[in-house]
Amino acid sequence: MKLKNIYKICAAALAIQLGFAGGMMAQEVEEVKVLPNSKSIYLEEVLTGKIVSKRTGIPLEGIGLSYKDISASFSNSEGAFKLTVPSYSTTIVVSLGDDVVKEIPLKGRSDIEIALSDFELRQAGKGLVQLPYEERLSHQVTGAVSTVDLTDAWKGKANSPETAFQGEAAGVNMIRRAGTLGMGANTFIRGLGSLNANAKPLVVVDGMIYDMNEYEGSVINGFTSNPLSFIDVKDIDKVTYLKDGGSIYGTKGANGVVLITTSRAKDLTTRIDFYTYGGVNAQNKNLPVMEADEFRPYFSEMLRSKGLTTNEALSHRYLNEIPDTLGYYNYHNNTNWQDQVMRTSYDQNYFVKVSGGDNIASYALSIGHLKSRSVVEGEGFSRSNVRFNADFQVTEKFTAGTNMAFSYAVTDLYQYGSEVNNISPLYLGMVKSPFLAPNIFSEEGIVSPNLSDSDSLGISNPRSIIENTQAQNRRFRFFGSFNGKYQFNDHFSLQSLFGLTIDQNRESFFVPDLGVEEENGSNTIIKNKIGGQVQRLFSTYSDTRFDYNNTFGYAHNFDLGLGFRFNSNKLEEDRGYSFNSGTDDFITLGSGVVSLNQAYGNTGEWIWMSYYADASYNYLNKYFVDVNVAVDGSSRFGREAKDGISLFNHKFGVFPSISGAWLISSEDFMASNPLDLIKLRLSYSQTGNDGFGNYNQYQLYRGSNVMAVQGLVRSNIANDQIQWETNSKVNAGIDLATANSTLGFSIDVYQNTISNMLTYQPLKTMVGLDYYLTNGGEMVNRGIDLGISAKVLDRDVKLDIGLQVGTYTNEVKKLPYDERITPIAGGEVITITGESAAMFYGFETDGIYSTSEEATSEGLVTYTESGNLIPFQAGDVKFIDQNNDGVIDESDKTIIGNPNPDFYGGFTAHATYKRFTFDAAFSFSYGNDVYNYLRQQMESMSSYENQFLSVRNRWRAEGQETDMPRLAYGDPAGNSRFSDRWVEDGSYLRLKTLNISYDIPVNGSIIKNVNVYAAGQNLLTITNYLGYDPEFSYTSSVYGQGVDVGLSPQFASVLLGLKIGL
Amino acid sequence: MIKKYKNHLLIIIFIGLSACSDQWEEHNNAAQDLNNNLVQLIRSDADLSTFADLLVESGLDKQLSSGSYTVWAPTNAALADLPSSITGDEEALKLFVGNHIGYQENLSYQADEEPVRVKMMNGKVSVLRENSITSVDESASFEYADRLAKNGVLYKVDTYMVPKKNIWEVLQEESDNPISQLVMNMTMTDELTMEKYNYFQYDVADLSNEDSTYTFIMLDDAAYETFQMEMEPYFKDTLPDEMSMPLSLGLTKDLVFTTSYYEDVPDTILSVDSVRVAFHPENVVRQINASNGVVYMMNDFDYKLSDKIPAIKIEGEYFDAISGSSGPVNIRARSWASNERDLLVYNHSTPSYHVTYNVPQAHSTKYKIYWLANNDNYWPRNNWQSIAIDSVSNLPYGNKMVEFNNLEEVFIGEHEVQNYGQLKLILKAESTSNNDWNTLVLDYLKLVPVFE
Repeated sequence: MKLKNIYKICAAALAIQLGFAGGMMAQEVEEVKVLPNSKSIYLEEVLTGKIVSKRTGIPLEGIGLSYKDISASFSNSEGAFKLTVPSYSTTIVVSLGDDVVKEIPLKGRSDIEIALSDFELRQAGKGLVQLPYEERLSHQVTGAVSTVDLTDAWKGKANSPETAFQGEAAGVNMIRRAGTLGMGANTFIRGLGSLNANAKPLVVVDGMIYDMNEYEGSVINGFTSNPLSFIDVKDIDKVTYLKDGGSIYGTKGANGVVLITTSRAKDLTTRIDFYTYGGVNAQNKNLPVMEADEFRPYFSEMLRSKGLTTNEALSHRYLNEIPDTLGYYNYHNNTNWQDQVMRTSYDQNYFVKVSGGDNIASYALSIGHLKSRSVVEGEGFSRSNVRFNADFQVTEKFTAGTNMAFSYAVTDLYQYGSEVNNISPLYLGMVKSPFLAPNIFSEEGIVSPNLSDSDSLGISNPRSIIENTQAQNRRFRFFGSFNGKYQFNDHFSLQSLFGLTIDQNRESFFVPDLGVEEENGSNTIIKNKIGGQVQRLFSTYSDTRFDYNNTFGYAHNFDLGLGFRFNSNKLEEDRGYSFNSGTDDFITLGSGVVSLNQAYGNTGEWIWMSYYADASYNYLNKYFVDVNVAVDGSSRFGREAKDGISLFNHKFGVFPSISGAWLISSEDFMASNPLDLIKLRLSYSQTGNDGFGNYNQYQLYRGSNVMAVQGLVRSNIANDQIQWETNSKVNAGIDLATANSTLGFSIDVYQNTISNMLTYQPLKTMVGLDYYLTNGGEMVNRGIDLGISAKVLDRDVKLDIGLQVGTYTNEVKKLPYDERITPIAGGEVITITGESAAMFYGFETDGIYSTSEEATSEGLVTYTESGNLIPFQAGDVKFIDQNNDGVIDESDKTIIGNPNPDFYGGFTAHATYKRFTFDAAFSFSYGNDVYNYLRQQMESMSSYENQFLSVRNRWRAEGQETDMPRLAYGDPAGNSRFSDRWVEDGSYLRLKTLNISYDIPVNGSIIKNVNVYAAGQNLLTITNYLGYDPEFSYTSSVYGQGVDVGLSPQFASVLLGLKIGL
Repeated sequence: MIKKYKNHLLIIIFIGLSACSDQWEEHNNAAQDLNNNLVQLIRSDADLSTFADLLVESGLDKQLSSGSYTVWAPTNAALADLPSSITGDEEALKLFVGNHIGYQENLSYQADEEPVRVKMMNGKVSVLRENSITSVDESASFEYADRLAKNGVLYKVDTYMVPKKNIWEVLQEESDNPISQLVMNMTMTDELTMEKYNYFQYDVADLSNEDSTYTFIMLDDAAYETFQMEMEPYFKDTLPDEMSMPLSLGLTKDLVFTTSYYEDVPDTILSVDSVRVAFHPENVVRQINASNGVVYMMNDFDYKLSDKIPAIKIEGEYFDAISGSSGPVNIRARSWASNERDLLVYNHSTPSYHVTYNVPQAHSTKYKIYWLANNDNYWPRNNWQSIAIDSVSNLPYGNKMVEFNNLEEVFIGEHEVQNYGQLKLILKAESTSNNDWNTLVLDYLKLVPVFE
């Protein structure tokens, strides 16, 4: 037993670290004794019954039946069993091996027949819901909790796990940020959690907080480095959303909690699973832009609109029709630029998972490598990840465990977004003149390998972006924890977890001179540009907890936990930019012109500590009450904060919650009721949000340079009352299930009130600062979540389907100012009381003036950019003059759209037939408005950029009936200003994933199973959205949702994969 | 059962796929015309089939399918009587078809306030009015107008318009005419490139430019002879037989006018060189309408000699040479001065300091010489200066004192120029180095021809 000794030594070392050494050594020599359960005195009644298969009626043998851990029995070959129970009002557990199949309330019956469906047997063990500190059978859960089982998700793409759980839980709105690999999704649980503080849910992986902050963000425009992309979906067992009861996490739980449970050894046999897939990513359907034959006349009209005479326009070099003149071949092409930047690409993934162990130590080790590409040429994501999860039974009473994960990912990408249109390959792919070509032609018309520079219209060469720009994110994260648990006796235990997060996120980019339009810097013309950033986070986390549980009599079950958590973080960010290096071959930060160098830095240290208690009580497994309270302190809170209690001269927030459930279906009077489950739930909880920046309670200074004198100036106004946002959640729910859970139904109604909401109070000009951060707002989210599951077929073909829908309304109740207008990509969103936050705010339109008479009779005027008043003319957009003053200006803006969906969610279908398995998952969003910035650019008709084909409809002739205005260089009448023309219905229904797999029969001696599968992702999207893709979310902030700034779109992929189990 | 669901799935997929394409189709949905280029649009109107065929024959259909154009397509009926001189000649056909195609989009509403000049594909310029298109003297009315195509606008017109020759071509054709001969002989060879060019086109007007409009007067033999006889004395030169360049230019420059007066010519019109010419309709022998203007063949050319041989004004500040250092030469800003500048040379300490003015445009005739020189600064106390002709020692008029605050022209004397352009006027200071006496001041010199 050498191995065993090694385990023991390891465990001992571990225990010393955890400070349990003394206790454990003492226990090691203790004898293992089996004692009769003292509770057996309650076993007064005998239950008899029979277990059969629901489908065939055949008796089932070997099914376990138990009442708590007091009595247990198995069904015999006739399916019959006998079990002693304390009362016929209790509930017994049916299990298959170690896995619980279901609980059966006796409802006063002394003899029962249990018909188990195939589904129930197959789903054995999956009915457990992961809660922060325990697992519970789903129908004992009192809060609004959704669990997504991901054990079958291994067929999907490995890039970022969000795709697997998007749309799978009601009330969780996950919006994938973009098609950029690994970017993941922005998650909003039950509406908008905060205006200015963090609005993202807390992510907890295996009991430890997983840092999801973006800090100062990326230096690469349009990119968000997503920590979840470090986790391969094959490592995740399940994901649990705590939608209401986040108060156990105190000031971290306001936006809901996502608990991610990674896979551990399921049993002690050694399993080796090898996974691999190869994938093809299909290029998105090109957006309809003008081709050369149509763009050329358009261009010529645009020249005329700029004021060029016909002769001047005709002599423009791009319109020269004489073949033997200089440049003719450069200007007479028909290039499909979208094809120049996008193409079909390929993915590979290898993943090995080894699990096993013995009764002392069990482990799961996984190693994976992913090489993935997007449809934009040159964009890729490669990740290597290792995870080691182990559990040790050191002594009978002392257990320990470890979770360790290390990932390194390199993302090659480009910059996207409205601020970097001149280097965004996708944007350039649309606007670049189709008659130009990526490479230079000789006078004889022979194409050279040299790329053309940016053209004389000021548009960069997209090919040069593809070939010569660089943008890379290199990030690693170590995320590991040790935990130990000492079970003093049946009732008392003490456990502790200690973990580390070490994260380093490096980025660099280079924008070349060749092929890229020069920019005007503040002091110079910027030819090429270099940038870099390093973000380093070191974070420790500990969670120590004392547990007590007992059953008083047989009916009163009580659990109590008391604990303390501590989280300390240290962050440093350094960012540098450099410009105009000598040639495009010098691409490091040191090679730019020294006087132009820019450097920024940010450091932060913050601490969060939390005392918490959670108590749960249930009576006869029918009445459940959970009470939680967390008392949280944070270095971010001001000493004079109004709320909370004072401890150690600091302010601590107190976050209580209470939730209860009544399992009506287990009542004796429901004996004749065919429903499996009727449960009423009610909860109230208070949570907090500390997701705002550090040091707001201190007076800060920043360096400033005035007239060559260096000095410090105030950079804020200290707010020593700054505190958490309080999010009070009320939730009421009903869960229903018919017999054998053939039809399941769950509905929740909630109201989340966010008070003390952080707001930026505008300051008077004389203050010299723009804003003051204060707890001055209030906002409410109300909504309904609905989940339906149905087992439609349960024969040879088994089919179950599920539907998850959520709806919410958001309303800002109180603000310390009248309105906040936030500009986004040429548009604006407004936040005012009485409306949802961040509504689109712009002009209403009513078609266009088709005749001059119409324009004259309307008599409206508008200001040009230079401030002159000009009348609208035929072909201009008819803007609605809201205040009837005859002038279209700022005061005519109104709310023109709501980015929040009416409904969102997803539905799934899972079918099996013999050895085939079929899975389909749809996600949808309905009724959300989106601002199509790209279309605004592509239909503005104000410059030499190529446009959508739809501008063919533009107004040209007096009396022409159309909804597309005239072309006008510089858009003097502001026809393309932010208006309802650009706000579209962003509803979509998407076949998110579709898998078909086949288990190849193997003899099982060496190879245990072989599974081949084909999987598709984003294969079908039904939408009316006029863009590449209707799903995008470029920021995690509430301001900016539903704005398509031109990030790379989601794309369709098909994978062929293989799983071999040894 | 499974079949049923399969069908549902198929239906969903079908709806999905069709929806995918619909959203853009609906958005891009344009009136049928807008999906066609001009050639396709012309083809779609059966009544324009002849024109469509002509397009193909002339080879212009390719060009017309890319780029922005306006087409005034004559109906089949209008084209029925198209002469074979056009249809039979490839070049002529191209010009003809090109006369019905304008560059860029030109919509009739754009011409409702004032006519729009439209550059045609054959280089000529037509005039678009709200209800018609005019090529020189031929107008066509619209059967329909402003029909939008993908790359331009289509009009259907009731008649065709034959392209006209431009004035230069007319001039070349009229080779019997003395003016034509004169202009065609105004050639020169560039000494560097050895290329021959016509200096009339450079110095007077490029009559082949289709974008400009001209009226050009041609004279018959008799009228030309009279005109030449009148002019010759003023353009004397040392080359006895050849017609000199100044004379050629002098004879031709006032035959060109920058407006095309197809009709209702005003009785006095201004030539490109701003010489007033009287126009007597009764003297018109023949009128030739050209694409860029009109040519009048006339039997008399009526002008005023004093306009033709004008007075010459020489600004003091535009001197051609100075005799000494440029240090003491000042060009002063003076509000009273012509061109708001005058010349002051003082403190030069040089006896006989002088400033030279060449007068290349002086005609061979007698001129009265005036100056305007003003001692406005009472400095120096006495300012005497003189004018020398051609050579600094040739001082026919003696010294004259420049008076204080005199803004009047002062008569200096008369001089007869022997040959055209051979005149040099020299402003000379006193022959003393005393700076109290040798200052030069000049606003301008004026030469007024004396007609006897």
